[in-house]
Amino acid sequence: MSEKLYALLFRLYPSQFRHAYREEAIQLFRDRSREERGLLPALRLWADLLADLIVSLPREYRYTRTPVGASSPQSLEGVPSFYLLEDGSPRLGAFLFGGVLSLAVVTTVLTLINQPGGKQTRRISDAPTSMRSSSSRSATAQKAQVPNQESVAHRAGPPPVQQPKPQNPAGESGQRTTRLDAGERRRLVDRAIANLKQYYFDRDVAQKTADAMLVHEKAGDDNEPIEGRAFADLLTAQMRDASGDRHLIIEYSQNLLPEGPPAQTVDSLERLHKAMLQQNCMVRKLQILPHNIGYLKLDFFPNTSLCGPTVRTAMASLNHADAIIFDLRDNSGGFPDMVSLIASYLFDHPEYMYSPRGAPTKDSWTRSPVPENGLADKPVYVLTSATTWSGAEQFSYDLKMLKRATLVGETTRGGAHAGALHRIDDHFGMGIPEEEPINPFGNTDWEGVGVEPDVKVKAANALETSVKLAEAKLQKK
Amino acid sequence: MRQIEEQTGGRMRLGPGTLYSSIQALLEGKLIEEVTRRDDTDLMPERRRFYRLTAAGRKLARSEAEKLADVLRVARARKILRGDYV
Repeated sequence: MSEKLYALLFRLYPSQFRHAYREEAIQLFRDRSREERGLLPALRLWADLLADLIVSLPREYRYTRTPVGASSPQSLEGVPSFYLLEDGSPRLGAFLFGGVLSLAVVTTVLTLINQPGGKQTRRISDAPTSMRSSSSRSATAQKAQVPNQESVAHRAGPPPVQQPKPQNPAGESGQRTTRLDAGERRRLVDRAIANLKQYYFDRDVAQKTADAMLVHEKAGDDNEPIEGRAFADLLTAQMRDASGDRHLIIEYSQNLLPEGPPAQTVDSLERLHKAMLQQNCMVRKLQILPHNIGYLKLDFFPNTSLCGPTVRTAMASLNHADAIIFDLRDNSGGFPDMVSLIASYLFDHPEYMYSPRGAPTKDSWTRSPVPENGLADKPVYVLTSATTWSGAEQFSYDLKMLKRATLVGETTRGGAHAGALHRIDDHFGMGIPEEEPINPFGNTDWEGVGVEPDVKVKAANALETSVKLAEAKLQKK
Repeated sequence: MRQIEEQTGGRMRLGPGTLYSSIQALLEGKLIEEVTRRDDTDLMPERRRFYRLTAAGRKLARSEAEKLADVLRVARARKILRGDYV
């Protein structure tokens, strides 16, 4: 027992020393403890050992800190030298401890950042075309509409743009945590109804929803003194219940919603553009796999005005492939014009790329045929995952519906719609779909449910599966 | 360890850590060297290591002892220490 304890204590020494003398030191300990029996001698032995540890441990660590180049014959004068604390590789326990410690630090920092009371930073992003202009749109609207864009902007590296703290004439902190009184609640309902009637694309449904909200108000359903966020959720539920439209939403923001659209500084746009170009327009991989299968891993659909040339070059390099795999497993969406641009290579005539985010524009059609393009009749596979989102879902959905691609992987995340967000007051905003483009493929899109793949496999196995499918198809030819 | 304790009348008690860190320092200073005694391995199953003084080590030890002897001479001359044998 005591020998084990000493062996444990001996692990405090530097690894080099341990490896050289561990056995001998324990042997010495054994010798002494064999001879010094009884309570007093044992106590004296341990006192000696502890004193020995205290004296020799620091000395040993000081001693092992010799410069790496010390034994080298060349003169190292003026050359920076490095010290090694440990020669041996760290123990498994050290790795585990380090891992746990890093995790704890990262979690703490993230928790601190996400604390509701903390200052919020908003990233100003290059707005995808899915966002229609609305004078009353707020920063929250941008956030609600393009969370993917934000994450990409984050990944792409531009530093977050800190907005100036909203001015509040009353000198408050800009946060409201108090409960809403009856007057405020009534005013919010009235404003919501007014917005609904003014902007909602279907007047009958707007009227029906407004009536239902008034009925709820009269019935006293809104009478509970309630905190802002809960009240927003309550009204959202009432509106969705009456209209059947899950895109209607009332949002509550603890911070003041800025008046008018957020300023998109030239600086922030330039930074984003620079970052996008640095990231090779999010073209992550571009390869010709065995059996002449083209493989393109794209993590975002950047706007064509910025990344058109990069993506065209990428597509041209796959021009002679016999089949093509689009890897959208980590794709977080982007701009419909880029969706159309890439799809252009897959058809020999213009095709309509349906997007549920607004009325068709000239960019909703592919620019097929692309001159000298050889991909229009080649088999296409699209890899999806549970995180494939938004614009990437549009690409997958349209190609699937047009029977132009085989989708391999997981059901996508399901983000289709975006409405403009109208400011109700300093803390409340309201998302209202203003127009409903007609879906040529039927009534349902992927909002909330995702796009189902043709071949369901785990995202991690999707590439392997699609390569097998492509090879089998090419062999049949 | 035992030898040191006996030689100093129990005043100096060396632990394994101090002992081997001293040995290591002496080895690296090339003042002692390790010797292998193959013939002893049968008799002593426990792992033991043997070291002997190198020429440089002996020289250094002697010069250190001489320094101490000088100190002793001074101590005796000043009547701090009595007797002719320590």
